[in-house]
This record gives sequence, structure tokens and C-alpha cells, in this order.
Amino acid sequence: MATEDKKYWLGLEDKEGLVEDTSAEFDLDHPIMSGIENALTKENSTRRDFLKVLGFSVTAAAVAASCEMPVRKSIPYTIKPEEIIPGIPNYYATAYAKAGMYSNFLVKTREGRPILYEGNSLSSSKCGVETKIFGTLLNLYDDNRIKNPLKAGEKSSWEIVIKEIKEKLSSTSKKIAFLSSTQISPSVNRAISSFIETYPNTEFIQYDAISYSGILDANKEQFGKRLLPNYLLKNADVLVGIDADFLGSWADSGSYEGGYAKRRDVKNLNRHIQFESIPTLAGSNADLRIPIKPSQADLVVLRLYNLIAKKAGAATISDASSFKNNKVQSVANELWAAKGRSLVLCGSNNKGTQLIVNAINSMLENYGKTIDLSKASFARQGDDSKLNTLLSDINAGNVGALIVMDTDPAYFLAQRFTDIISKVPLKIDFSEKNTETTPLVDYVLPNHHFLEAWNDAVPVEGTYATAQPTIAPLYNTKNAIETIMALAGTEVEAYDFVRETCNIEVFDKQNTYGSLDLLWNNTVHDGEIAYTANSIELTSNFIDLSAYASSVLKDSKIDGDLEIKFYENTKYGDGTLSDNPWLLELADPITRIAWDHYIVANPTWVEDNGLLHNHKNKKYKVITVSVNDKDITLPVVALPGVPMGVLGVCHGRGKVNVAHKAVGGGVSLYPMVKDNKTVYAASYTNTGTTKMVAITQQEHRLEHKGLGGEKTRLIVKETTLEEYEKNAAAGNVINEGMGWVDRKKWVEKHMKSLYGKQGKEIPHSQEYGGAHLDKMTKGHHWGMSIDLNACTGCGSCVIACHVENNVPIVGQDEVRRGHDMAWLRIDKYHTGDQDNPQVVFQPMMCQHCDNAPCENVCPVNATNHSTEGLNQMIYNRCIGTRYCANNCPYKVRRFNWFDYQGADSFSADEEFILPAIQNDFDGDYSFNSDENKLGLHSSMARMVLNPDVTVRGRGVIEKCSFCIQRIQLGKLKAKKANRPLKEDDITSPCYSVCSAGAIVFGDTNNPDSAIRKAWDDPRAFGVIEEIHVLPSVRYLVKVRNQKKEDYNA
Amino acid sequence: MTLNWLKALTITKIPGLFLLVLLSFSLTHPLLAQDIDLELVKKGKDLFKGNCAACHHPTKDMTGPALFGITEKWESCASDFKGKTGKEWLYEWIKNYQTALDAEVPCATDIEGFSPAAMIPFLSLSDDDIDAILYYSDNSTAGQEAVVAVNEDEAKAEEEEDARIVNWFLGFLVLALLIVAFVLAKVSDKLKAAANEKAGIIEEDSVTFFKSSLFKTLITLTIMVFVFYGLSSQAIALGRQQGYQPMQPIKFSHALHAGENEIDCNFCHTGAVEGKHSNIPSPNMCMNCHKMIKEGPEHGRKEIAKIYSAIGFNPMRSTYFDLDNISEEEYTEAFKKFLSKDEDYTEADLEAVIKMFNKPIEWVRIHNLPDHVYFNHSQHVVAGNVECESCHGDVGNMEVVKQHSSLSMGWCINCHRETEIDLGNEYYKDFDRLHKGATVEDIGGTDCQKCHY
Repeated sequence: MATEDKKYWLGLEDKEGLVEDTSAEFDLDHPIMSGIENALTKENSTRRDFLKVLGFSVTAAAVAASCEMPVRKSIPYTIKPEEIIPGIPNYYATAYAKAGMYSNFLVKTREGRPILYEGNSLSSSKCGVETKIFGTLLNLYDDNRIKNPLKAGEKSSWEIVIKEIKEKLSSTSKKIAFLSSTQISPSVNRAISSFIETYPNTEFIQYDAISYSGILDANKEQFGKRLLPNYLLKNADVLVGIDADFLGSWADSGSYEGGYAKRRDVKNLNRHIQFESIPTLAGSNADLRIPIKPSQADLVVLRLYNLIAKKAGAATISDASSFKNNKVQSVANELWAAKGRSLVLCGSNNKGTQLIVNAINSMLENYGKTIDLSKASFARQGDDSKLNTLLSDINAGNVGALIVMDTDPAYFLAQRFTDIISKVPLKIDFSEKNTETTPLVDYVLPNHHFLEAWNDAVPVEGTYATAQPTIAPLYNTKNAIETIMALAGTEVEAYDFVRETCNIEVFDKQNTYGSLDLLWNNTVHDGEIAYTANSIELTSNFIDLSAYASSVLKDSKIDGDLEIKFYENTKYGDGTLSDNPWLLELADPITRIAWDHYIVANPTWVEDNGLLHNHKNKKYKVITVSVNDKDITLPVVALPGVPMGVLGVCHGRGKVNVAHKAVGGGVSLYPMVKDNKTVYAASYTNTGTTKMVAITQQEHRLEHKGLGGEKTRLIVKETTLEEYEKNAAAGNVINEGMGWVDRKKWVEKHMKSLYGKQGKEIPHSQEYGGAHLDKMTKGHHWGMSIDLNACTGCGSCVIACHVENNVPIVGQDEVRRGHDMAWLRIDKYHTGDQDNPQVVFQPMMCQHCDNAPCENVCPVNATNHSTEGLNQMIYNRCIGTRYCANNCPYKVRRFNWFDYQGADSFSADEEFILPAIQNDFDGDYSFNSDENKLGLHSSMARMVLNPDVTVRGRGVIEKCSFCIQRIQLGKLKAKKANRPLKEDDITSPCYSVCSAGAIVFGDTNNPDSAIRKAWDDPRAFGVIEEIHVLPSVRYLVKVRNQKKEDYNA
Repeated sequence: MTLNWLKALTITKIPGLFLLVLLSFSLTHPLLAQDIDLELVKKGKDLFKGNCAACHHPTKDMTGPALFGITEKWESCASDFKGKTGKEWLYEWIKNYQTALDAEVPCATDIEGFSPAAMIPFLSLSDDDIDAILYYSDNSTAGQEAVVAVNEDEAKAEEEEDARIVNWFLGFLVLALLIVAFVLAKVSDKLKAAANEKAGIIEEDSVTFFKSSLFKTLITLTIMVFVFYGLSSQAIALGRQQGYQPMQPIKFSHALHAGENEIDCNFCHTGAVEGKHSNIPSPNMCMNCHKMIKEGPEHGRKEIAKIYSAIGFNPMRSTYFDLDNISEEEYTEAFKKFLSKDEDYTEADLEAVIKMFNKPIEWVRIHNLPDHVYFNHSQHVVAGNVECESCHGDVGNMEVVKQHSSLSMGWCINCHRETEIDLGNEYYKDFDRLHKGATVEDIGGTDCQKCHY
């Protein structure tokens, strides 16, 4: 289907095509209107009130005017560290490696404070930053951290706790259990080994919050080793995912995006087919998404096996004949045609299913090509059977001591753990922050935050990574390596210990560096080093697939019509890092919901059952779902793409022991988890109540009516690979008074009609890049391009933008009102059937129009154009009329309704304003309630602010600045070095954290630049450029590797 | 008739009266008598600072002995020694000390507490120069210098006072004249009315000028213009601190360091060429020199000791304290010993020094920009080749630094409009449109987002 015939829609309200509902403009049902209405009806503003306010403001102004200037201090270091020059950031490579997540990135520090993560181009595995991990930066400054070693909840000292614990450990004859999430740090593992030497009755148990035992045990059975293979997505021409969100959170998800993005390049496009129940990032990016019920994932695998086995001439296995899906056959055909260049991934945690998937991949000859067993991933090593043994040991009273590290068993194991924990006489937690477990233990020996600690990691065999401290420890905490060693009887320095590990693990297995000093220094500098992988001895065992097939059939059966899937979404994952304001504020890419917890369901099902929400006031019906004899009461959200009879709810919420109720909130699903499954039978009841949900999908909509009121203006453009190969400009069409024509043709004609009559040529050779270029024959013109093909919609750029530009966190209530402050958002458009729509993600930020509508309407010229093509926003000149925001066709301007982050220079105002926000609007955006200060009002959290960017106060508009602070710095760098500007002088954080490489930024006047090339690509277009605003952001047409029959019934 | 008399008085007498009063104010103040040759002191001071100040002080022993009374000393000890007067031997000693040593002049071979070998030859100095230096050493003791300074200050203050009085007087005069004019007009009106009445002319009810609405409007408008002008200029200037000259925790003299010793600004303020901040040097930077230079010309040891205290340096042993294991008594003792070498040592000095022990020094920040302004020193110093003095003024003559410029936006913009860019910089290679004489404004230097983001 050609782009122009497609109908794009945001939500159910406008599934027939985007609705421009002007009647809703002053809709009293809208949440913000209700607030205003309350204010109008509750409070009678009288003349006296007016005079009071007037009197107050005059007095305040007079007082402010007569104030003496405060005396400011300028305090130099006593002994200035050589590497720190005030005002100049330092970058350190470090790695986050905890709980199955691994990311190697650069930490930007200013005067010793980490303030941003950026991609590390020297790291071998990838150069982005995973969305989930970004929040850890704010956690460093979180008040919820444990600041001292605790004994029975009371502050104690390290000497006392270590001494007491040592005594207790050596006196116990019972088992000592060391419980941890997947540990990929060789140093921690080495420390634990010496701990075990000291206390031989110790057992080290790893578990994953969301179990991956199925795939690990399957590989153990088949290859003799519990391992997670390294999937080489970049080699797979045909990629089939079966309920495995490998772009969001499945297995070692962080490492897949880079390889996947390489194959989403139009020059080398793969074919991605996703069988999927609850819509995820993987399915939304797929060329063909085949909706299935979650319980059918295993059945798809069985069917696929049989179809391929027939082609391969192998024996078939039993299959669910009742399962009907006409797409599986064509998928099998495609896979078979791409033998040795294909890959099948399955998210099932059933060992039998995973063995059958292995057999499929093996029949397709994928081992050694798209699946690398020799460089296995260590991201998941949890062993459910060991955990179950431990729990029964605890229950039997056989465990004398329990040490918990990098995990929160009271949350993840819920009542399985909390019911029996009191039977352990000695309980120790190494947690760095308050978790559900910390109140239950006898001792808390707080670990450093990972940004304060030396550590290392081996994410995959053959890659060794170091983590270095980027700030001195803020509190009285201790590196867990040191703590473990101290308990084992040896005092060590973590630095020496990790260095020694590097020597042991890597030195003999590499040839690059001749001495340990060189090896260590370079590894710490680069972040990672590749070494000769330890050979993994694999066996090849015979598997009786037919026996497994029947057990799979039995296990996958769900009783009843309604089933519920517990899934991990992109931003929370299993919930390890979910209690973080940045992550909470990020609108989930799929549902576009921030802060709130919800149940997703099929739109038709929702409508049929009378559960449809009121989209105007965002009130959603609350239902109670009963799963495994427990209840989940949450609002139900109709999400296009969810199959009939299926409910979905994400993990990660419902924590109780958090700094603020909004950071908790929602329901923890772990108490309902049974047998490590993700799909259960469910039944629901309507509570009859409603709840407002902070959904942003319908906020900030773009107008796409063309001339004559027809909906002809294209916001996103798409084509198929077939069309693209015929015509590189396929899909890049415009209809504005000329019928559908190629964009290039339209631009030419359009420019001629504007400028041609006077006999002038088109102002500049580069069709149009900025009207001001007449004046600027040479100079800079900043532009951006976004490849819609590469963007997976993960949202890490959104958080990076928040962090770099001090964008405030506004909280649940404000987001519900549509007051979210994101400078960069990722719009999600649907086309096609609401039960299985195709999705386009479109990052949207200020387009820096060269003919900007916002600039003309500002009464005080607070927004105007720079000589370098930037649309400038001057906060100190802005008086807050918001005309510009109303006149912005892209709806990217944001208004500071409140003083969200304490920018007001009069601190007394804060005390006056903040409680007012909190009471009147139930402002939930605090995560530092201890100090009774909200969000970035807390002095500790403010350490994360970027000192190069103004902290905006109340009453001003803000928006994307193209990171002007970085442009200026990059130019200065070149000027100081007496040389022309180089391309890599200026990088924006959104670009640098994108592991898919979707964003290109640079000087469009530089003919050799990547941005110029991207702009000149036949796929490039400006969003609604028909209105002649001359945007400086160009998008590249999305090309899907789609076949005609894909979406035809 | 009366009218004529009054008129005559106004025309003739008032200016005379005015002149009389004016004369009475224009009294010149008597200059304070000076009994020293200021010219010679000045010459001597310059020479002294240039040649001797590194080792000598007029009144204090430093690396070399105090120079006060040195002429007398030599004259008494070496008079008629080997055929030369004491003064001549002193010239000899200063120009080339080795000659005096070889001749075994008693004052040269035996200087109490000092090694004669530490002297340096000054062959370039003439006898007159040496005379000037010695005159300065004898006559420029701290006290006398202070007298000179005070005299200068007083003279300056009185000049200012005079100017103020004249201004007040002129203002008063204008007011007085206005009142006189008003009275005269009134009188003239009354007289006219009386004359008319006498003459039987019945005048219409005329509104006098002062009662007219035009006058009232004019007055109101004038007052409003003044009030609004005053208010707005005050409001705009709110937060500006031109001339701000706060007391600093250490009496650090830029006049001495940057002025007399001609130390380059960037030598200490290293950040100015690197990044946005021109940072205040940390004490470890001070120690590069002050590890050796333990006494200053003005304040002796007590100010330098504050650096030692902050960084934890033991000036008595020239080693750093072990800050992890040090008792308060230990370092107090060391600083007491060190400070008590000062003549004017007091307990308060010691207390001030001890208070700063092992703590960062809290300098008072003088140049403050609002938070919404981005300013980068290296941009101006390196890329723009701007001299520090163009914004910070003549710091080399400031004993205590004060804010020289207004740091207002108008001031910034003005400079951006006038300053030419360095087209020799390779960066501008591709900027075809730029011609010789292009200013910062031409490359977008007045764009809002050059400073506000």
C-alpha cells in the first residue's frame, strides 16, 4: 500500500484516520479544564483579593529591589587535582553490569560530579546506553540510598558490623547461602570464592528475577553447558522472534540493538518477522507482526519445527492441531530459503520449547553463523532449581546465614521469601538503597553505587570490561568486593583486587599489551578489551524431542477464555531499576503512558465489555483481575495490537519501601508468579471505578489537514523494500495543490512559485536549507536527520535529552494534565487494523524551522532566529504568553507551569509555592520527601544538573535547542586549535546514546558532512513541510521489507 | 515705581550676590607641608622595587638585612677605610660586592645573621640611583609612606568634597532663583491687578500660568519622567556591582604580584585559557613560589601564613604536615613560632591563621554574572585574543581587586559590535563572506543564544 493511501492514527479515538476534533478545544472534560473549573468555582476572587495580590506583588518587588546583593564565595580546591579544570568536563569509561544488564559507556563528570552518560565508541559490544540503565545516574544522588552500615536498622560502624558478622558466620555450622542476581563480575566471583574458602559451608546461588532457566537448561541438556548463546543479529537475513522482545528486555537485550540496527539499514535490510502477543518494541519494528495469544508461543514453535522438519526430512513431533495460523507456513518457507542466514528466537521459559527452537536453528544450519556458542553471553545465569532448594532449606531451618547481594528477594520472590525469612538466624544485605528486603535483614552493609566503585565484568566470553569510580563515595559505604573479602578475613583494596583479576583473567590471553600496567591502563581508559575466548567444551547430546513436545503441549495449555501475560517493558525490565523518576516520567514507547501502572487489553474486547475509557478526561475503568488466586486492581487500557482474550501487565511496579509514593505505586506481579511462567489463566471483574492515567499519546498532536481541509499532509512516510529498490524516492510524496507528486518535484515547483516569478533562481543550490542562506553564503547551518528505519523507539535519547538539558521531572499529575516537559518525544503512529496495526516511531523535537511560525508571534521577541539557522529560545526574555507554543505546528514547545526544579532565586518563595503545588495538585513528583523538597529541589539531586544549561524558572517556554551549549563548545574547540570545524567536534547526547545510530547531527552547509549526505538522500523529507516553515530536521522514509500478502487478511 | 525698583534689583544685584557667595566657597585648601623629597622617594621606590625588593625590605630583615639606616652604618664602620669614605664603600658594595669583600670592609664581611655571599652585583646602578634607593630606604618607612598615602588620600577626598559642595551650591542656587522668579511673577501679577483695579479696568478671570492645567501637566510629566527614568535605570542596574571591592580572607595584593612583579595573569589563573572559568588558583599553586618566599613587604608573615595553614605546610621546617596525624597544639606551635618573627605579631594574627587550617580558602567572588548568562573565558582570551585588562581594568595597580566593568548586557554587546575578529584563524577559512574588518557581530556575536542557553 502506498504511503498516500494509508491512514495513520494515534489511538482508538481516531482509528479511521487522525481526527481533528475542534469541539474538544475548550472541553470541560479535559483534565486541565477541570482543574481550572475547580479554581473558578471554589475560590471567589474578589476585588479585595485582587488588591491583596497587587499589594503583595508591589511590596515583593520593592523588597526585592532593596535587597542587598548576596555575597558569593568562590572557593578553589586546596590542592587542585591535575586532571580537573573547573568548567571542563572529564569523561571516564565505566560499565554497569548488574542483574542481567550490561552497558559500557562514558560518564561525563563536571568538577567531580557525574552528570551524563554517553556512548563509548571504543567499547566493542555497542556504543549506546540502554534506557533502563540511564536512571542509575539519578540513583547516585537519591536520598533513598543507605548512608551507613545498619545493624537491626540502626546506624552502626563498619568495624562493629564486620566483626560481629565474622563471629556469627564462623560459629554457624549450618549452611551459609550467598544469594545474588546474575553476577558477571569476575572480581566479585573471585571474592566469593575466597569467601567460600573461609566458610566452606557456603553456597553461592544466582537467580534471575524473570527466570531464564528454560533456555539455559535446554542448552545444558543439548550442549552440556548452561549458557545463553551469543546471537549475531547482524548476520541474520531472516529474523523470526516468537514472543521474545529482544529490543526491549529479553535476555541480553542491551547487546542486540546495535546488530539489529545494522540490518535495518535500507542498503542491507533484513526481513524481521515477529510472533507476538502483547505489543513490544521488537514487534513494533518488525516487517511482519503476527499476533498470537501468549499461550500459543510454544505452539508456534512446534508448528514451525514440523514445517521445517518436513523440508529437512527430519522426524516430526506432536503438534496442536487446534492451533490455526496461516502465516506459519510462509514463515517456515522464508526461513528455509534463508538457511544459514536466519535466526529464530523464542521468549518462552519452557525448557522443551527452547530445545525445539535449538532444533529448528540447527536444521536451518544457523549454529556458527547467526548463533555463536563459543562466545556465550553471561547475562543470565540464574538457576531456579538451586533457588528452590535454598528456599526449602530455609524453610527446614537448615540455613544459618543468608547474604543478599545485588537483588531484592523480598520483592522478586515475594511471599516465597518473606514468609520464611525469619527462619534464618543471620540475614545480611549488601543493598545500596532501601529495598523491600532491607527492613527484613539484620545487617545492611551498603555497597557503593556503581559510579563510586572499582569493578569489572565479562559480559560475553572474550570481552573483559572494567568499571572505574567517577566520584568519591558520597556516603559511608563500602565496595562489596572489599566487604566480602573482609568477611572472608582479608582486608583488600578494591582497586588492587580488580587489577589482580585483570591480570589473572586477561593478561595471558591477549597479545596487545606487553605489561600489566599497559594492559590495565588501556583497559580502564577504553572500558573494554577483547581477549582470546576461553574455549567452551560443548557436547552434542541426543534430545528426545517428541517427549518434550508432548510436555510442551501440556504445559502451554491455559484453562479458560481469558489469559494474562506478565511482560517486561522497555523502561522497567524486571523492576530492578524501576523506582526512578526519569524512567517513570518517560512515556512507555508502546503505550505512551508515564508513571501509572495499567493493564493492556484488546480494544474490541474492551469495548465489548464496556470498559472503554473516556479519552477526553483520560479516565480509565479500573478492573480487578484474578490470577493464581490473587488480585490485580489496575486501570485497563485498550492497546491496539493486543489479541482478543488477552490481558497484559508489566513487571517492575508496586515497590513499597521507596522514597515517595509516586515512585512506588502500581502492583507488584511477583506474588502471582507461579512456576516461573509468564502466562496464566485470568478472570476479571469491573470495579466500577475509574482512574486517571498519565497517557501522552493524544497530547501534542500534529495538524495534518491539507488545503481544502483534506487530511493529505503526511507526518510519517513509508514504503516497501520492493518499491524502494525500483525508486529510491518511493513513498516520498507530497500532495499540496498538485495531486500526489514526488517531493523533489514539488519542492522545485514550490520554490519557483515563491521565488521564480521575479526571475530569480532558487536562492541556493541545496533546494532549500534555510532562507537566511542568502546572507550566509558560507557559515554554519545546523541540521538533523532521523532515519525512521533505524529508530527502534526505545527512548534512551529522550532520557539523555532530559539529563543534558536539565529538563524537569513534572510528576504524575502534571503529565496527566498534558504538562510533560520532554524536549524530545517519540510519537507513535499506527496504520491498519486496530487488532494488528503497523507502528511507526517518530522522534519529534523542535524542527528549528528557518521560517518559524513561533518567532513571528512572540510579543517580546523571546524566540528568534540565529545566524546559524537555530530557532533560539531566550528564557530570560520570555514573559510566558505561550503564543509560540500555540503557533508551533509540531507542538514541541513546553511551558513551565510551576517552578519544577527550584530555579527561583528567592528561596523563601519555594517554601511558599511548593506546599501549594503539593496540596492543590497532589504533586507526586517528589523522590526526596525526606527533606520535604520536591524533585530537583533537593540539594543532593541538584548535583546532577548540567552547569552549562540554565535551570528554567516558572512561567517560561522551553524546547529543544539543538544542544546549543555543545555547538558553541565544539566551535570554540576548533577556533582555539586554529583549524576548521571537524564533524566530530559537535555531538548531541541524543545522537551519542543511540545504539541504532538513527540520529545524525551536523552542519548542513558542509558538503562533505554526514548530515548533508543524509539531507540529500532521496528518502529525506521534512514533516508537514507543505506549510513552508522550512524545518531543519529531516526524516528518512521508513522502508519495510514487506510483501504484498503480509497484511492482506 | 516699586516694580521698577524690584526689577532693577533683580537685574543688578542678584548676580553680584551670587558671585560673592561663590567666591566665599572657592577657598583653596592649604597643602600639608612635606619635609621629604617626594620626587626622590618615588625614584628610589621604583629602583628599589625593581632591583632590591626580591631580597630586601626597608625596615625588615628578609633574605638580606633591612636597609633602613644602612648609610649611617657604613659611614661609621668604614669611614676612611683604605682611602675611601663609608659611602663610597657602600656604592662599591652595591655595584660589585666582591670588591668590597676582597678589600675586607668590616661592614661587608661581617653582617650579623646574613651571609655576604648572598649579595648580587648591580653594575648598572649609578651613584645617583643608589642615593635614591638609600634615600627611599631611610625615608620610606611604613609610617612615612602611610603619611604620604594619607595626605594623597585626604587631598583627593577634599577635592571630591569640594566638587560635591559646588554641586550642592549650584542646585541650591537654581532652586533659589526659581523661588525668586516665582515670587517676582506673583508680585508682578498682583501689581498688575492692583494697577488695573486702580485704572478701573475689570479684568476677566484669567488663569495664571502657574495655575494653568498646562503647567500642572508639564510638572506631572516631568516628575513622572524623572521617577520612571530613575526607577527603571535602578531596576536595570539591580544586581550589577560595578566598583564592588569586598574584603578578602587573605590580603592578597594584585598590585604586588601582577603589577610590580609582573606575573602574567594566566600564570595563576590557569583556567582562563582552558575553559569557561578563570579560576582562583588553589593554594598548591601559591606554594610554587611561597614555599621559598615566606614574608611579604606589606603584611610580613601573617597573610602568607594563611596559605600555609590552608594547605597544611609547616613554614618552620619547610615540610608539609601529616594531616592525618596532627594535633592542634603541634601546628599552632609551628605557626606561633613562625608568626612571632613579625614585629607587629599579635595573638589575633595567630588565631586568624589557625582558623584556616586545612580548609579551602573562601574568597569572595567579585565578578558575578546572572545564572542565565553563559560566559567563557577561553573564548575571549584564546579565540578572541582579548587582553584581561580590557574587562578587568588595571588589576596591576589594585591593592584590593574591584569590579572594573559594569558587566551589563549593553557593555557586552557593544564590545561584540566593535571588536574585529581574527580572520587569520583557520576556522574562518570557509567563511567567504567575511571581509577585513568583520566584527564579532558579523559571525553572529549578537545572537541571543551566544550567551543565553
